[in-house]
Amino acid sequence: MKGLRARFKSRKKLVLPLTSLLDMFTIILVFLMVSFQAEDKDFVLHAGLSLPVSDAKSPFKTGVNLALTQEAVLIEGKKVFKLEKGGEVKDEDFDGGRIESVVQGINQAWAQLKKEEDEENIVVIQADKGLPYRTIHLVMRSAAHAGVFRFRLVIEKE
Amino acid sequence: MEFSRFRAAREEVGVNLIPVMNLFVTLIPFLLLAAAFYHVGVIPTSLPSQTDETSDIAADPKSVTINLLIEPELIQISASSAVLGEEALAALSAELKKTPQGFDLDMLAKALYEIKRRFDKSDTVIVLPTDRVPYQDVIQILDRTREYTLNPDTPQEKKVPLFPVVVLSRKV
Repeated sequence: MKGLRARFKSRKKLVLPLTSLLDMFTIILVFLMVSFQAEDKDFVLHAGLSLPVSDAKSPFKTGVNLALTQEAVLIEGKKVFKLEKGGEVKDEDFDGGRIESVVQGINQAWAQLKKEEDEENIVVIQADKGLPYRTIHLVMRSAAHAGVFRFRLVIEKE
Repeated sequence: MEFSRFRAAREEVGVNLIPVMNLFVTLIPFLLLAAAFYHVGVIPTSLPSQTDETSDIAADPKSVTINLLIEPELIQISASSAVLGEEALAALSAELKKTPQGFDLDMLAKALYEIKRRFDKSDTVIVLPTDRVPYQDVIQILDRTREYTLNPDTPQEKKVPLFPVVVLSRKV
């Protein structure tokens, strides 16, 4: 009798209780599917800035990425111009309606970007919400000297 | 014979979850890579243009271009048009003073909605902030120039487009 019981025990299958794990995976999967974005955006959010909050719903469009932090202007991640304290631009740095290093930076970025012939020049501006408007406008004016008149102001959706 | 009956009664019938788990383990890293935890959008804008072919100033009797002068303590609304007279345009002007609670942006949206009702082909706003205005304030004001909510918080709530074309300039 003892031998039979031992044989019976050894034939029992070891089954892992996967139901609770599956429940957890289902919740994670649903959450990730909601957050999923299928568009391929050639856009990297700069870590050193805090975007303004807005309810704008316009779709994203790629272009030259320009970041304006409290310390500097960066084009495609490369620092091209240092800002003064509080994100200010000194009057002497703003020569003839433009910041020369920003104009050059945008021209170089356009030269490196592979563009279709009919594609419009667009600069995508991610600027810190605490910056004074003057700084943003001076950078946009400089972009205009590089032949760019259309911009996309990046915002954090509400 | 007796033992096989006993064994059959004791065996649990379970669904084989291993293939489902395999699928989940594959899907989750893929979705994690593509997930956006920080939702960004854009506001399309441009600099003012004045050429022989194009102008930001409205040239249609049913449309006007709104000029929004933003100062730290005041917002001035005015309109411009290539065809309307000075008197008609002056009647559209308004001012909003900053209160201790900030600008009354609902009032701004309402004033713009009244202009849009009269000139329904209008779609352009030229924004002229002064140097010291913080960027976040400009964005908040732009949000209220884009659309107006009729009958908010009621079943009849409706969003009406106002001036979605934004031209950014600067008041010197």
